[in-house]
Amino acid sequence: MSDWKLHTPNGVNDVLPQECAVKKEIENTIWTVFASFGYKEVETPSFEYYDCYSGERGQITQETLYKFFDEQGRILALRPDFTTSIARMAATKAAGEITPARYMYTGSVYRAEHTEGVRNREITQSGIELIGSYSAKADAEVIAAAMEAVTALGIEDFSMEIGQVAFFTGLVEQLGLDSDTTEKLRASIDSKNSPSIKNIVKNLDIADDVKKLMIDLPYLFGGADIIDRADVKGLNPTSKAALDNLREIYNLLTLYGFEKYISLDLGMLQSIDYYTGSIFKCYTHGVGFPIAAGGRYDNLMGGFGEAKGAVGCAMGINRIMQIYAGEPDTVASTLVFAEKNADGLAYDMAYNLRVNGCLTEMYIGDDFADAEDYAKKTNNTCILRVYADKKLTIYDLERGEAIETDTDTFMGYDDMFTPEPEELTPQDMGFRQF
Amino acid sequence: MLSAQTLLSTITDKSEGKRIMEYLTVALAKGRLAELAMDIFIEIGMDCSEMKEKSRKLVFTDEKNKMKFILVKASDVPTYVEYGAADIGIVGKDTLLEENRNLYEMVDLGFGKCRMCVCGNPELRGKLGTITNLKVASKYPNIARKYFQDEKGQTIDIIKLNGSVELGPLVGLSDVIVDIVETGSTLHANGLDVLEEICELSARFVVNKVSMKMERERILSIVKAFSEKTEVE
Repeated sequence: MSDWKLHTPNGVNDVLPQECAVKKEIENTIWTVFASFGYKEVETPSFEYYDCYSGERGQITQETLYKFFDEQGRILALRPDFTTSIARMAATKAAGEITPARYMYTGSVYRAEHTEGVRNREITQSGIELIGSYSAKADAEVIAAAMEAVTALGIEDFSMEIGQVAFFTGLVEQLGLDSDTTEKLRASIDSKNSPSIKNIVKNLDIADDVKKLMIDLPYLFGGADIIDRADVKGLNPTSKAALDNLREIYNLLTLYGFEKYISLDLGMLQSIDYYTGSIFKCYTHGVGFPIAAGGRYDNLMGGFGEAKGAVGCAMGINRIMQIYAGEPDTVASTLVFAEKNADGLAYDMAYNLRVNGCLTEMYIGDDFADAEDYAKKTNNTCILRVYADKKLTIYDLERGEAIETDTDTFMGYDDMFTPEPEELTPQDMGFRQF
Repeated sequence: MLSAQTLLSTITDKSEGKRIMEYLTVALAKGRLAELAMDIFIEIGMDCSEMKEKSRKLVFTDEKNKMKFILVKASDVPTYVEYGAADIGIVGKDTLLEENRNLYEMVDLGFGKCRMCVCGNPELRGKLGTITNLKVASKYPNIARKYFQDEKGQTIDIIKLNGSVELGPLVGLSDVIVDIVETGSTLHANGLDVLEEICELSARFVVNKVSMKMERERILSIVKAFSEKTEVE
């Protein structure tokens, strides 16, 4: 039998210091960008009633939810995303507040992915939700904020792919397709499977223009010209409005200066039960999955009793981390070594350094030779050896020098008593090689 | 703590590398599909001479066109492509259906044609729906489950086998099997017959979703060339 206590379960991982430093840097950068757009951070529970995530509007199937029970037998589930919880929160706790409301979040989401352990089951997401507007300006803002975050991370070579699912739902509505055929058609278009689309539409009694459009949909991706190519005769109002909306978003983002990053894809049709309008994904080289994704979900809020337009975006922190696989620089720190009976004084020294923004470690142990050895093997570039009689030796490990002084001088306490301290020359400070 | 500068320098190093054309990686399902696909790659101007030499190498490079070809087990092709370890894959529809990965399935290459079928003792023809807890042996448990449960609404027991599936009904391990049928000769030799056809199969040209967007022109030109080559036949 395996010793399970030594292992982490499939799909979850420890994040060790170096990796964690990269992760926090990414989260902080994204946080700063979103905050600068006026988004306010919120937290929602890690688990909620299963009912909150289930039902037709959920974009996540019940198999991928981690479920358990509360003390009364009700089903609970770990959150598979933040959007649903934030929509519930906005509908129930912030109803009647001034709209649009801007919320942001960072945290783990949990999905029981059935894979061989390569794919994470606990994923960190940072994202924003803009609730209370149906305007294309809201879509453009969220997409722009996501791109600003990607740019702030130093990623220059990326592509933001924008689609509009209402264009497809309009077509389906017009053709009066049943839900099975719709789903087959959606899956075929989303996987750009032209042979399969041909097979489905050849049996349908529809205008040739629309038939051709369906077959072309997988290839309707690229610049703004694809909107014109899709604008064939005989579209219903839903599809027409979708194209106008996409054009408006595209124009706004162009005005904002993002033209070179954006491309359009009318064949992007994932989660059409969840998204109702724009849908977007951000890609970069070296990562096989989107690093950010989002869209408009106008029906979600209604499900919580407060019909409102909403659009949001989530950034996949774990995927962004793949880009920074290199070893990061770490900031040097100082090691404080307390000689016998100097613990209080040593702590004062460390405190002073810390409040001045220096990373300071206390050495745990009594042997100075060991402390020196420890400092050389770790990231400590300097040792402060503190004696009970306030004597202080500063060892600069990078230059291989040592300075003899005392703690009062070091902490500047002398200044309080002697208004004009003499400037010490290196000789006065007793430099010596060691 | 890590400075933004460091983050930036990592990125810049990478993007400078990218300015030179990136390799496009093609994952080929080992065996006949790989050979047929290579013929098309050669016809459209790729240099696959390395591959034609019999060797144990698994990676072949065409420096002129900046292409890499890797030979992998058929069932692993969708995985390589979904994760972006390969940009393009050539693989049978059976594997795609079984693995159900998130990919672009762009061209039906038309070769490697065969059918996915439910097979068994000819006496069972037309009676499958009447057997409760039908035992189905297959190398393709997902396809079998999807067909019986979703399309026919029948609950079945699945027995996953890795080869010589025809043995299942013969030794009483299962009632029927779900397997690929090309000519049917193996079936007949074992006293079995096709009872129901699930779908037709052939080789497909699949593309990673991110690669499609990041290397649009190059991939589309290959897709176009492949469509032309295969649709003529």
